[in-house]
Amino acid sequence: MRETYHEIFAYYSTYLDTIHPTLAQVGKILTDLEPEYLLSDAIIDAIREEEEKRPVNKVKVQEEFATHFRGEIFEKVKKYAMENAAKEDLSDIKNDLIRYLAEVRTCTFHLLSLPSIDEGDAPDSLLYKYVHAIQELIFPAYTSFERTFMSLNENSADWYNCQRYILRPQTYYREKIEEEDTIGISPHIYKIINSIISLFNLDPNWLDDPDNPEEEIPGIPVDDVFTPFIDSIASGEKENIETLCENLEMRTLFDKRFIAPTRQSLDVLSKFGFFDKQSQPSGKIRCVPRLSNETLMQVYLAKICMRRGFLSKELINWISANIAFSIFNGVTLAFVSPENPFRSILYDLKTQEKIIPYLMKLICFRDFLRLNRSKIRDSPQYRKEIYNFLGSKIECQERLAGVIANFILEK
Amino acid sequence: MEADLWATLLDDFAKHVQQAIDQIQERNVDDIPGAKDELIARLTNIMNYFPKNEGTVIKRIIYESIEKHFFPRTDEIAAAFDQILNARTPDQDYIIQEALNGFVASETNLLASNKEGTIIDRLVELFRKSSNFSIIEHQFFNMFGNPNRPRKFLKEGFEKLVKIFGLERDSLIIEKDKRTSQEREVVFYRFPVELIAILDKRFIEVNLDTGEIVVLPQFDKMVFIALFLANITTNRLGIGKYAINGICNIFALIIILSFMPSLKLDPGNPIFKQANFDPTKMSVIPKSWMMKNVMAEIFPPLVAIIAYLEGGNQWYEKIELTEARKKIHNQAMFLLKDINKWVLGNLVRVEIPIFVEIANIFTTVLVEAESNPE
Repeated sequence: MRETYHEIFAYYSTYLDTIHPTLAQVGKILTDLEPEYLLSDAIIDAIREEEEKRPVNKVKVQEEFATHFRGEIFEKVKKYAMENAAKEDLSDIKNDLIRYLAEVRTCTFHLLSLPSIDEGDAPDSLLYKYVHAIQELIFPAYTSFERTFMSLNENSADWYNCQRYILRPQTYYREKIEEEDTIGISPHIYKIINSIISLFNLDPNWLDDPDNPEEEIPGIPVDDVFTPFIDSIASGEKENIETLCENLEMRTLFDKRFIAPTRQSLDVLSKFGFFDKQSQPSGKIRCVPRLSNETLMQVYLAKICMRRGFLSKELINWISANIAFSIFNGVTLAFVSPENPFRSILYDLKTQEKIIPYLMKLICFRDFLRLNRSKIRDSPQYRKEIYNFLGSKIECQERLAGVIANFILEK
Repeated sequence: MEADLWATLLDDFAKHVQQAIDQIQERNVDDIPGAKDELIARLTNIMNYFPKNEGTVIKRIIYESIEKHFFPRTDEIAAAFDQILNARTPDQDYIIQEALNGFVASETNLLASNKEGTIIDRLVELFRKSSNFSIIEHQFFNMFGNPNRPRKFLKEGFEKLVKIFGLERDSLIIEKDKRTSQEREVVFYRFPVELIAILDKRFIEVNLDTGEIVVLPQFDKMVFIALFLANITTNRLGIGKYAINGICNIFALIIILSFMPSLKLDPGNPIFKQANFDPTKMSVIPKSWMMKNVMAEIFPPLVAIIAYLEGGNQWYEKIELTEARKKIHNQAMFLLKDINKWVLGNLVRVEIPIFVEIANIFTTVLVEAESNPE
């Protein structure tokens, strides 16, 4: 069933609405606490147990989370106090802890205020600004191939690694891929694309363009591209070759023996210098390929940007998870200082899995990424897989998070 | 017998370089003025000087540069690990990663799947989040499903991972498990003890009083990959055929790339307007050597030489000499693409330290040879 914006917004807010007051509550407890009690585990545990006796949520799973979250905060308080007691005055430690808690509160408040309550107000929301800031760099939404490619190419020098990264899902699960769905780039396809670029730049054959008799276009033998990987090309491989060519704005010619660029590709890429039109003594114009490493990857990405309604589940989950994580990490980066002992609670899988899946769904709506949100997977197993991975230190994501953090700090 | 084989390998290489030169004379694809001549001159030098003094040049390149950066010749894992970590630069990290992902990963079926990158990242994450720089078997299984009933392939995969990275196994007996109320053995894995001191202050922080280890943010997957390389270099005679071929291929490609001359370009060349071309860090090199028929001449004999120098007869005998070899060599065309990249149809080498170092060794030998013709 397709969930509405209101429903997803409610899910998104549910746990943040638990986290935020819990932080305020512990902050208040610390304010009232005599500094010397910070070193007494018994007193801190007693306070925590007292708080746990007053369940706020009626829903069991939410109450469990609230207990876990509160427990984690108290553990961090004890650990921080113990580690710093020798170096710092206890009242300073107390003030530091209160300040750190306030930072996390500001952060969760900001996360809470990202989406608008009504879908109609989405263009005025902070989430809209953040998603579009990232989208413009790595996943532009334009209606023409040329405009989309131009945008990717303009951002290529600084953002190519991120553009390439969102094209290559690092998670894997079996799914039945619909015929019209475009998939991400696997390590194997990546090598094939590299080999196509090399063969075009090195030694292409020159073919008469079936659409324009005055031009000669480059073509490379299908066999040369694929034989380093497979023993022989059967019908299954042939179908895949066709699909891959289509995604690279290429076509197969002469009984499907050669791969050559499409007319659209020749026209658009020539404007950026990736095909050089040279006159031949025969009077024909020859389109000499001058491809860069990035060119075909950006063509693939441009096609994906334009076919965003028809992407495989895996790719949709990957793109939305990356952007959602970048926003989450960016907000954390902006508000929570690196030395903050409570920072790790925000990065904990248990906290993230309560917020990010809904953020992923929210950013799929039509005012944002316009992806098919019904394909966002809810399975706990898949979440575990994708979040464990995304929790790792990944340069691309850090850079995108930096964009969001700067965005917030510059305001 | 061995001396004969070495001499044959050197002669064979020189002969194939000559054939490669003939191929380029006949037909080249370089359109930058002078590129063809530069390439032929460089290949001629290689052909003339490689076999001299029983192959001193290639021996120096392998022993003084490749081994120093990626594959130290030592029996001690700590020394190898330290040396590989010290040679780290962002671009060199990329080479090491590609060596692992591209070829060597097939050592284990699990690593060779689409999850190859992911699994290393997950191990890093587990260590990073661990309380005392060790991972519990349970945690790993938890990432892929039910930790109490891990699937068989997961168990096997994890065992292979532990072996490939050379992690140390240890266990702890819990008298009464909270869940089952029975005795339970908790198995955990950690870095070999002798490596902790090397990692201390750079990637981890060891508290001498409590023995507690805190993982620093600098700890990343390259530490794992360095561990992997250190593990195989110290057990180099025990590794499989596929890994041997993979390692030799990557090293051969690095050497060929280092030999390529930098071309002088017209200041009006459109490449200078490309934002992804930085003339201070990159050089345009000839591209004809990447043609299939040229690669087919120079690549296999160089791979054989490297195999012989790195692992003696045992490695040399495992070098692929069948049709599969051609496939592997063809694949070399699109390896290391972030440092041997295409910019506007030109082949560009990113000048990372190892390329500069190997080129310098070769130049030194040339200068010495020219000043002492005999």
